[in-house]
Amino acid sequence: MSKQKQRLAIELDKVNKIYPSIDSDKEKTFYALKNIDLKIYKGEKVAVLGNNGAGKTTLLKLITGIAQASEGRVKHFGKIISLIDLTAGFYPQSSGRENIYLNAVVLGTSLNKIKKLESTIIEFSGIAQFIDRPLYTYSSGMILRLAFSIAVHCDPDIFIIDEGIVVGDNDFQKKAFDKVEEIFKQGKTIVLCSHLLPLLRRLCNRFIWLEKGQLFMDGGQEVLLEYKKYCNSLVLEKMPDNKKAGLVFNFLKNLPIGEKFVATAGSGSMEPLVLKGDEVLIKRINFKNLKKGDIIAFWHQELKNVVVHRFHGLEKGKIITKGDSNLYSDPGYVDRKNFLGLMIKVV
Amino acid sequence: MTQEYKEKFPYLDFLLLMTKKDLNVSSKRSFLSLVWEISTPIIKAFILSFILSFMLVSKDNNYFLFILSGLISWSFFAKFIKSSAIILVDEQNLIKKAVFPRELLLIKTLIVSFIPYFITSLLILLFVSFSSVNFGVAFAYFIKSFFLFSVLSIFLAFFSLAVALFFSILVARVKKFMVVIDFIIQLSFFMVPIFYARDLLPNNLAGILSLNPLFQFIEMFRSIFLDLGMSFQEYLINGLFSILFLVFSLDFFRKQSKKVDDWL
Repeated sequence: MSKQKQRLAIELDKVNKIYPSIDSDKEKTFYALKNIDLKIYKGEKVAVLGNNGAGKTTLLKLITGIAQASEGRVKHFGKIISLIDLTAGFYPQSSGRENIYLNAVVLGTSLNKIKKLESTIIEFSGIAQFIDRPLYTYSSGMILRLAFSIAVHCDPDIFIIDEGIVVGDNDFQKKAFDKVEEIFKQGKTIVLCSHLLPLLRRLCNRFIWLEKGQLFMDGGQEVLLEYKKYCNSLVLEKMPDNKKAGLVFNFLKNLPIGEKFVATAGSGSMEPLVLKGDEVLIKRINFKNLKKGDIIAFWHQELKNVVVHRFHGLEKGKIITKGDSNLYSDPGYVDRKNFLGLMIKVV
Repeated sequence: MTQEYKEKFPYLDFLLLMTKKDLNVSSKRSFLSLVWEISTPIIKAFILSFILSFMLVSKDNNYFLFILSGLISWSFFAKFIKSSAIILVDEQNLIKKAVFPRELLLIKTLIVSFIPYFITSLLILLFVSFSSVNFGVAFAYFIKSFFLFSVLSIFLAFFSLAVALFFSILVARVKKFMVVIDFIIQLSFFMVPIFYARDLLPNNLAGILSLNPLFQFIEMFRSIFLDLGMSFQEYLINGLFSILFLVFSLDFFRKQSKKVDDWL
């Protein structure tokens, strides 16, 4: 399909975003985004890739109009809803129902329309029995459900989605996933930024890679593959050397049962539960007490690092594990010798 | 070719829901807080007039009413400026969530402060009018002063909003500026004729202080409440000034508020 015939949804024309530099010794300004030319057409599903600090959120903010470009022009054609910060703009003293009205009107929905949507939003959020209680009595999961439900029902033409689109407990996650996929199928324009690479691969058809505020690559699946390679190379570089790794393993292995330690996730194999960069709390427990479905931490001989995976099955006394976002299980990796502990929670 | 999309933002719905939220924490509590807001200026005026009647040799029997008539509009101004100057910082979550005309946040705060002010004033006006013996005269007086008062209140609201628009941008930029604003508000209590009459001031000083539009406003409100008679020319000049000031500061605010996300 030739792009000339498609209708524009978002247009960025030589856009710069300059912030005053915090470091006073160096240059006075800092380019969060530099010379971005970008045309996004109606119905495109665009994923924005890049490291932390590459300018992803700034780009999304400029598109929504929350922040203003320092130079250049940003245009959009259609109603935009941003899911950059889902729970923003909620009032703890007001009830869930009142918050539906307040939040939806801030997103530009008229009162008449909200009245029509109210019951659908409440039903989808699944918290109907609490809807007239003040928001400070809600758990953070419930607020997220409500927020997600409001945002997806306000019917925009363009969705801007930042990390953390998958919200709430397991049941709601499934519902939210389905809804997100449904939105993707509706032919709406979506700009998404997330570290969930498998999800992006399934949902998006265009990938933009930002590097230090500049457009590094722009294209189809091949960009994602390149980006994946780049991410993996980063992880390998950070791998500790053999001698030190042995010391770390010995130290962890000799911690008494009941002791806890924190590890940082270097990859996204346990997404969406544990995201890359999350810190997880691991508790030393007895190998015998493990059961299927537990998330366990063990020492990986080849990677020379702690790996956190799910207990998938048993084979000849060894545990077979699998990352939640991996397609295949890893055969026979964990036994009494290299087992370290049980993951309790994401810190 | 596609047109750049501009859906009309539901201004009135936004103001309605936000004002309702601010006034309506819970129905019982909101009633009490409204009663509290309406009565505080009256209580304050009572205390002030009681204390000051010992200090100043005031032969005026209506010293209570004299203070009240000045205090009430000043209280509205002070309360509104205090709550609205910090509003962009307070509501930064909302600002970072969605794009909507930021001035609506200030207009909402204005409405919330205006309602108790208007009710208190109305009560005083009723009291002042109908304390006269003749009902017909009282009624005519009430209608006339109510009209003058309402229009002047709208001018005062415009003026306050214009000041607040400037201050809110300053505070969003430099949060410490709130301390200065607090100080200015406290100082303004003495710089406008609340507990003294203009005549008590030396001529030069009165001339300088009356350059402050708030000074003029207070005097005019007093003339309405105490039926002192006033110059309609000044009345209209004040109104015109307020409108122009508002247009100017609204334009300034709209330009600056686009950058507000960078500052918060």
